[in-house]
Amino acid sequence: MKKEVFWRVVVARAYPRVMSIVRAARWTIGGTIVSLFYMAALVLIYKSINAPPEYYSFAILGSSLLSYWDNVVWNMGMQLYWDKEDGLLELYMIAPMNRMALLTGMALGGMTMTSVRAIMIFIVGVLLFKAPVVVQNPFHLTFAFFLALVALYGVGMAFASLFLMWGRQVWAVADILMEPVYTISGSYFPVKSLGHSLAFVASIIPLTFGLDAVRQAMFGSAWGLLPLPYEELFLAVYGVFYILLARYALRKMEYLAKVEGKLTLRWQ
Amino acid sequence: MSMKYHVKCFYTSMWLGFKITLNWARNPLVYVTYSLVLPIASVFLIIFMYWAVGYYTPERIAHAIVGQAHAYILTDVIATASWIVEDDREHYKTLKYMFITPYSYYLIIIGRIISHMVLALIGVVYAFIIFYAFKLPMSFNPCLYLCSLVLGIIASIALGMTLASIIFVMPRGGRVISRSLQAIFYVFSGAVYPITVLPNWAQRLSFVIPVTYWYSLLRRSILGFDTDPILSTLQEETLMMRFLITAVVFLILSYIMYRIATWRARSSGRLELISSI
Repeated sequence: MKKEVFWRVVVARAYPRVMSIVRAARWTIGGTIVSLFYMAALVLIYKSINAPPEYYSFAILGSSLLSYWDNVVWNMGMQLYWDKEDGLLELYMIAPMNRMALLTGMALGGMTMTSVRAIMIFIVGVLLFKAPVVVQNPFHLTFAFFLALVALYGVGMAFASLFLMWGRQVWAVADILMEPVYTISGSYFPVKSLGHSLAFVASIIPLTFGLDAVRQAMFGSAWGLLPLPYEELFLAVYGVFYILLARYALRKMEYLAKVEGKLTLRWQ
Repeated sequence: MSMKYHVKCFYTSMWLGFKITLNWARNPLVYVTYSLVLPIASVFLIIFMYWAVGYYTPERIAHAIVGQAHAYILTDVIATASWIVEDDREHYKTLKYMFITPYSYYLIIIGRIISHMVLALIGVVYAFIIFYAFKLPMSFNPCLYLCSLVLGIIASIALGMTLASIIFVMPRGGRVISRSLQAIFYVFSGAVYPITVLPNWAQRLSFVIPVTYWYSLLRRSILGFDTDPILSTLQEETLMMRFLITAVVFLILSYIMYRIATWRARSSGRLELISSI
């Protein structure tokens, strides 16, 4: 019975996100067009210095995969804060459900919603700039991509819990998780070009190994920071760690928010 | 209403803007650090891209740094302008009360944009430090730089106000339009690369965008020359004149659009609309 309720909550929370692909088509198309413009700017930066065409592909691949990171920060991390502002959070809290099911539904719906944007960016980018696409290892590409998504949405679930306690500071935190993270995670270039020490610091964020693993599986190990199986292992560990952290943080933050009376606190 | 009230309204809105922008950080140093991190990261993103490829000229990197640091101002102004209207209407639910005060909401938005932008200018200062750190070519012309910066800020505010007007009448699509325009300006103005890398049709489009001239003037005032092969053929006076004309046109257009948009928002009851976005 408990299991059944868990999955019903997952489906119920994922449903509006999946349906929004069609029902909020303006957002889906508009958001994709914005990302396409920024992706074009990055490819043109490489073009302006006559970089090898592989770099065009890195910029396109990075832009495509960063859609997931954007979704993790703005639609996972910030979601409970927004729900609090809209007055929905208290309804979630009094409903007889597992809050982890709510986060799982948000994650699965978010993945589906973002995949549409990511695929569109990738296809249009490759066609527009005639960027070379090679898949050297299809199995590892699928496996690394799956592990990266689990780890990224694990981070999102943990953020959602942590952001519950904060007021308007969450905007600043979310901002800091955007451009600075794009820069140090090697989103548009092989991360190993930052030097090993900086690259390893950057790899605290699962996005770094996620992008690097997918890039390696497509373009070969010459572009990678660590051998592919090691990166996959790290991603798997990150995935488990962040989901457990989310579970712990959700309980802890929910308790603290109740004690400090922040569950219904708005406009702060 | 006398000029004194307009000035008071403007200063009060700037003060409010500072408060809203800063008071989430209990320590002002936290805000300064935060406002430095974003522009630094965006400039270093491009530097790292060049490093990754391994070959580039100092001129090319200087071009990108000038463009990226100043593009941040434009993006900030446009995003703030549209955000203010949405925030007042849907978050704080104060928009309708603003309209029943004797003050001009147009001035209130400008005051709040300026307070936000002053803080965004901290990032520009950092761009100059990078120039020194990387020993990039520099021949600074303070007079031309200040003129270009002030004109650029006026043009940015005009563009921001135009977009804020759209938010009044298009509550759901407004933010997408705002973000799309930021992206269009970034791509077609040649902020971080010469416009010669754009296809011909896009090059023609970049001549209609006022910020193309702004970035060219900024490069000339900081580097002493323009790294863009097409724009470098234009005289400084021609550039300034074109920029001035486009900025004034946008400023007038923004006011007309604001008047029409607020009239339509009042008549269709959209001043207290909640779009749940």
